Amino acid sequence: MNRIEAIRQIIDSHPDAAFVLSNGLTSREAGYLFGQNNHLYLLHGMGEALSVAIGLRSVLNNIDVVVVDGDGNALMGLSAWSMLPIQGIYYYVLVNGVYETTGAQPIPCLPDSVHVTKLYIDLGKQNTPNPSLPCETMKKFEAWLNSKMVVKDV
Amino acid sequence: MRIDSKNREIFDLIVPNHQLIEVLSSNFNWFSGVPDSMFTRIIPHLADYHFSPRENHAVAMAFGARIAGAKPCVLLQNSGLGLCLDALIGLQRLYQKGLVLLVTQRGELEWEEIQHQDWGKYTLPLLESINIQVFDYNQLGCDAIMKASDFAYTNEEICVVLLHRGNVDE
Repeated sequence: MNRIEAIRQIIDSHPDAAFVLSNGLTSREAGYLFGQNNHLYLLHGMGEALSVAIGLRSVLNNIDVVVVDGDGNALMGLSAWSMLPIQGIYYYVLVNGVYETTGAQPIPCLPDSVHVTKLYIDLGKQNTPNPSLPCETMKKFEAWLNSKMVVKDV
Repeated sequence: MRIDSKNREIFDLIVPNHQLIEVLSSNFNWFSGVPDSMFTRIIPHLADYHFSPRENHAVAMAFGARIAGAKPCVLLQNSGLGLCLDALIGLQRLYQKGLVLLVTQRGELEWEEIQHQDWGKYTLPLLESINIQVFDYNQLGCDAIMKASDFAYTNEEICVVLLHRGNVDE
């Protein structure tokens, strides 16, 4: 299974959820091939996709938040795993054992957790550009959130 | 300046804790951070306080909360800024989302422990170097919090309210 097939599988499993996708190839490939309004494509903030999702979910009433992380990103954000499980958060890590965005440097194995779903993917990447500008991504994502009327009265 | 029970010089107490908690609670509706001893008697009284194991995760969580419409405030010691910078610049700054950081300025008084001294010296130059506006609680009192909240969430900017040792009843 390649990265795109894995992401498509996750998207199909959560048709009504908000998505937070980590920076690097995860956001690049998903942004280019799917470009959905319910996706928040991170361009930076390495290791923080799960924490962003936790913050989102802490305010949203009745919407699931799905995180798609790479294993390099997940290693950098490992201490955020201590906040799991959280109802309504679904955490997926695409595992290929390397920092592929920066040239496939090997990385240690991620620990196992019952709250983390690992999907093993093949090495290899699509020739995809950076996702849209941050302001464009945010505008679409916020419009989608508003259309769902899921924001708590804060 | 005043003298504490251990005969050390500290900054003046600005308002009693219950008043500070009231001002925080009326200006923000979502809190996270990593405890500092100056916050010992504050954090337990903040509604909607979210645990975070590290300051950078608290900043990232605050980013998510802001997208969903909250007005977040992250509490941390100045040393935590060292862990926060990438999240602040790569999330809030990049996507134009506001955040107020309530930062304790440890290490600026001569008697403070050696591990805090460098942070006491470099906190303000660091914030200035990355163009983060500072509202000084010692100078402005509770107005610092109100001004910071207004600045951050009107302009979608990051800013800091800086608290000094003695400003809070520990």
